[in-house]
Amino acid sequence: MIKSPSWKAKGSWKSLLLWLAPILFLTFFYFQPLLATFKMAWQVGSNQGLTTSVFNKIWAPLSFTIWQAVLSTIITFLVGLPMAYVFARFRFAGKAFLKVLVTIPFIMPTVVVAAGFNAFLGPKGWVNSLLISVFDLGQPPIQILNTLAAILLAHVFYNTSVVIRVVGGAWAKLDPKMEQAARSLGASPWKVFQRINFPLLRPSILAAILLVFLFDFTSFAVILLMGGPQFATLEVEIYIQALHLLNLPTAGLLSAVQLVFTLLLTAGYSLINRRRVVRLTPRDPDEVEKPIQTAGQKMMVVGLVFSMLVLFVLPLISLVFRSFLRLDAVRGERGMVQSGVTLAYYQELFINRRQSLFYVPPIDALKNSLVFALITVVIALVLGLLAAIALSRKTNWNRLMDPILMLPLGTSAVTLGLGFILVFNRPPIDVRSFPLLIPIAHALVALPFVVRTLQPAIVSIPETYRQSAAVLGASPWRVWWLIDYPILFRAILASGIFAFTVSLGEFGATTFLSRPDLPTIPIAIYRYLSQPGALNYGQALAMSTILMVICGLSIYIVEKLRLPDVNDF
Amino acid sequence: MLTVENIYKDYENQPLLKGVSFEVKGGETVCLLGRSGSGKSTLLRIIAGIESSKSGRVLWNGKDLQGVPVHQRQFGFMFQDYALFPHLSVLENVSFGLKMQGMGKEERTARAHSALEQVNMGPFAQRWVTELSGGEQQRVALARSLAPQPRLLMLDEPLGALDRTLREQLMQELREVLHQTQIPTIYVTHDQEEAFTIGDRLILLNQGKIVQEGSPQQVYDFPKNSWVAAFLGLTNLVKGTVVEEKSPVVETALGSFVVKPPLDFALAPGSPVTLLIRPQAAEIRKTIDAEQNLITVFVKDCVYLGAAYRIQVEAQNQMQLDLLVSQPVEIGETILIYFKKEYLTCLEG
Repeated sequence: MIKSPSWKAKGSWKSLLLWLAPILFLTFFYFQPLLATFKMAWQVGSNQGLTTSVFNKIWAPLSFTIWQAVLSTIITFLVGLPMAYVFARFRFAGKAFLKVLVTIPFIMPTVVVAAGFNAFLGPKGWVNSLLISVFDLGQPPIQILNTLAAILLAHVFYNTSVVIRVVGGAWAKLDPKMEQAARSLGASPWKVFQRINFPLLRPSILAAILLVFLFDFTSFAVILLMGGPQFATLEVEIYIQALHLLNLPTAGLLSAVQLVFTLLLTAGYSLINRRRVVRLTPRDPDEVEKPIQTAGQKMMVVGLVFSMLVLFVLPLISLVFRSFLRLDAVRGERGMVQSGVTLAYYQELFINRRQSLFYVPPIDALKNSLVFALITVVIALVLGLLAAIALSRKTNWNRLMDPILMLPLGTSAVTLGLGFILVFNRPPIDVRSFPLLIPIAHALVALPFVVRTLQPAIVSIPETYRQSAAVLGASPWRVWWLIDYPILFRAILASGIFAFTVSLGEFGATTFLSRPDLPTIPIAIYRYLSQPGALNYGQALAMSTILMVICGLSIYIVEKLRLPDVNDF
Repeated sequence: MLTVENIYKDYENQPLLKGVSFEVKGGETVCLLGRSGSGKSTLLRIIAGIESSKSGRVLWNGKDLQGVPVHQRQFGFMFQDYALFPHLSVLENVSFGLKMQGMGKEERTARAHSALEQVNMGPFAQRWVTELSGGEQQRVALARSLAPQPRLLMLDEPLGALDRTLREQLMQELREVLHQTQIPTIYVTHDQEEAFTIGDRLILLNQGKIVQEGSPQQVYDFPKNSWVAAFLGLTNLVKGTVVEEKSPVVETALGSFVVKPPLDFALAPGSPVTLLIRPQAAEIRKTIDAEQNLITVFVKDCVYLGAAYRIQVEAQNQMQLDLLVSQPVEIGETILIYFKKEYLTCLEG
């Protein structure tokens, strides 16, 4: 039908008004820190030149970053591709539940996952504890923490779901009749995959590879918490240089290197996404999925379900169980090992054992986190709504603004945190005295997701709804309030919850911005995990469990909302 | 009373409406009839205030509506896709306009209920609109437009999304409802059957201009030109010249014909006209018993329709004619056809 051209003409400057706040926000809190980082790196480069010492500072962490990312990506695909296939093509009991499982890594904070693996396989984890007590060993038999394997394991946990969603999603959209046609034309099953399925899946596979690589490349908390100090990726090295050695110039240099790589990867990703030539249309699952018929298929599905449960559920369940379990010597009773169910770790959360000014009771961290998360939700929703409304008006601005809005997605949190430190170092906006910077950084991270959730929802509202309401006597403001808002409500709620969980779990940027007396839960968990003692360990697990439950509830609500047409990324 | 004055509108730098003027009086239903792309929907949206025109005026009782926003015009508008609000129940949809008027809850519920009764959707009040079938949605959309008792009702292809049987049924219902309410109505459609069933008056729009205006009977009996005739599905059109003015005779390539005198224009001898032969004009003759109105044709097809036979014949110059006759003929036969003059009309140009 004929779209109103007058509306388009008017929309041009109105859209600019809508863009104003998001643009100002990004300029001030995203581009300014980024520029400061590059400026710092430039100064280091021009003062010292590209000497071997400078080169070495960069090369060691960079080469390790690339190495672990390549390795992680390969393993992730070895695990993820078969899962994606089985997931897309078979119908079996419990599939809906597994679909929810797959969303867990998207929303589960890194510290929780690290704590989970720790509770599962760590030296004080229940597998080791069980083995020690059964075989009466002096040492934990499984030594996986602080090895490369631990890092890889966590990366596989996180990114398998990316492969399942992106590649499996595309696989589920391939018309099985194409395969049948190819078979009837004389192609063997392998030829069908080689000539039909693979070429059609290639863009999705490529997109998934880049995305997984990007996530592995920028992962921070996982490396810090599971790899230990000897594994320094660029992210960890930036953190050490900036916060432990107080060497901001070197941190800036590394951060600039990191930025160049991530921006290139992000650009590559959006380029691939734009060039997905063959548009795959959603299909009725009944058409694509087939029931399990042969024993081999049954084995595959059972294998999938089992490995998904082990990968996604066991670490988290271990965390919960271990947080209620006392397995170590009790305070003041050296040698006496009491084992049994306990609430002690949770009760301890309300007590400031150290009586120190800087160590607040852990429960305060929860309070801080909730407050920061609520502020994040407000900032991200207001800016995200403005940007999404502007994007859904088809003006020339979109081509420029859409990629700019997505940039923070590819920028690592540590880089962002460092940028904030470099720029906001004097009153009134000072990292040390202006705690609002924490939710601002969180909102930057959440903004792309918020926009990507809201925009399709806004576009999906037919213009005739608004016109009908207007003809029936609703003023523009009432049209928004009575039509747009209620229809968008679920999308707004979902993106709000998403921003909330992003903020609750954010670790990288927060390590740079939080003050000792105002820790968030992830920061507190990290502190407790990196200190010795059963009580600290137990408290870390207890806090992780609380965080996990909140995030789990969020996933549950978002899943219940059942948003149509929301893109994965 | 609605007055539309000299409306011009461009779409993508092409003129879409080229000076359209008409009026809608109290209680009458006007059908805007035209092919898709003729600008009829755009015209409706301009009247509603959803779109603006390049020039021209829309007046209500003599008052220019320029600057009056959509929501203050007190017009009703029903979209082809109905645009029912998916987050509201049937009742809430229908009472939306009343709520906008600031009416209290009790009163608007009662009014919405009676609007639903009017379209036989009373029992559906508490349903969600997403649960309704196409025909039910159409009825609810109509009730929603009627409930606030608009000064003018506009319907944009209201039956366009429905299948044939349902459309015929709803067409009758719509006709009755519109007669009952007496709200002046503009009904946009490309379907002549709908227009003839529902309209008190037809306005035919072609290439951004009004081609003909009049009651269904006027339009059908005296199509203004060959475009109107073709649009009405009358395809037997033959070019000719006027030979005689009184008891008019027209000379064509098929022969000369005595025709029905036209309603509103004179047939000056020598002037070019188009002869419209209606299918029911045909009568089979065995012998050449008339000098005029009689032609020889070759039968290409014959289909039994129940009440009559539709035959497709070829006359001289390979001219194809579709005719209705009362008795069967053989395909491949050559027959004599006589045309009754009351079914022969002259069109301008």
